[in-house]
Amino acid sequence: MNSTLRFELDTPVRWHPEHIAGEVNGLVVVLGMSQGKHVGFDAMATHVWHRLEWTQTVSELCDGLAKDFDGDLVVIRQDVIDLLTQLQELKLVEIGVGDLSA
Amino acid sequence: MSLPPAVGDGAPEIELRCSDIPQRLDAPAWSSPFIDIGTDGNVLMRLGQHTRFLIRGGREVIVDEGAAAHMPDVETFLVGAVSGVLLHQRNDLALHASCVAIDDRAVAFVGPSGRGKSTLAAFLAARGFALLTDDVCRIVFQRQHVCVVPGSCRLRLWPDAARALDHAPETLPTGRSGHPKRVLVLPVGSVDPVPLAAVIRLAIDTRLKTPSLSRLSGPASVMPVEDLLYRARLGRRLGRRIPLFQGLTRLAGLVPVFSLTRTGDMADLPGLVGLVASVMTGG
Repeated sequence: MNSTLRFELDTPVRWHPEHIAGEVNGLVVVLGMSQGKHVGFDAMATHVWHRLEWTQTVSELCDGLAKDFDGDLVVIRQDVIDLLTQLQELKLVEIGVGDLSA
Repeated sequence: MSLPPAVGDGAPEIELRCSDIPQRLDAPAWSSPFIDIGTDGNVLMRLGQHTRFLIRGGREVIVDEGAAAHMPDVETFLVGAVSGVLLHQRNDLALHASCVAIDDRAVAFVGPSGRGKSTLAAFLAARGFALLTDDVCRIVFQRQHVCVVPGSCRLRLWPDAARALDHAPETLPTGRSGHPKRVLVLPVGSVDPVPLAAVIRLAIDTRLKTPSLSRLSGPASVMPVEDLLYRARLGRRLGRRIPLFQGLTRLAGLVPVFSLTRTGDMADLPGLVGLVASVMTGG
């Protein structure tokens, strides 16, 4: 896995396995074991996080969100890439080419 | 000593004794000027000038024989830092909180040192609330209920807080040699666990004219976790990062969490009583 990979629409992503997540009042709080940091998500990020349980491309992730929220795909793609970039810096997502489903 | 009374007729859970203990652990897994943590999870604490404790397996506390001449210090550390270590070793969830109860429902005041947890608990205890514990607040989950297990009812107060509570500081014992805080011992409010109705996170903002209360939700209610957990860093060094996180998120899912920001002026204490009461009735 290339941890500095830029996001493209066909980039496969999923959550990093080394984490513990909990929910408080429907919103996710994650403990990333790699950096030992706690991160709290708002409603949108919580929704994205749930979808990141399975490996999918950025495009597939955004298409699913656009359908869930009946939203503008262009806006969703930018928001998702921004979020994934932050999650990557916190080592909360795995990103890269190849089969991540093992 | 003013330790909480024993309940039940079973074998004691904790053995406390005096013996020679070393200054340091051999080859500790982690060490600071005050604490050694062994690879076996045992903890040696160097607290104060004369006082050392060796805490083993969550079941045994050994006080260095040289500390016997400084019993007030020993008692203070036993019900505070040593209790916290014991709870971590026993895989219990402990909040950094002072806790009172009324009508068989508890409210825990959490926050870093200096936010007024003990002062507020003492003020409420003087106005009909029952004190359950100060500083170390053990939490247990009983089915879908979250309960506070009563602990030490020794409140450690700064002199100005003691005066605000109508106690002359010079008439109260000190809890630690050379430390200005005074100890106020109150009756035990309960011997049985009490359901926790609310957690109130205390903050101070001297720009405020009156205290402010708001309900927290989601991640904001539990972050930063260090503000709610007793000695979170120590707990992590004892390998408890994950269970502490899970316990805290579980608690916040079951118990409403509020933020109460004080003005920092002791004169706001009477107003806080009404705010706490509103949490207990409407929370």
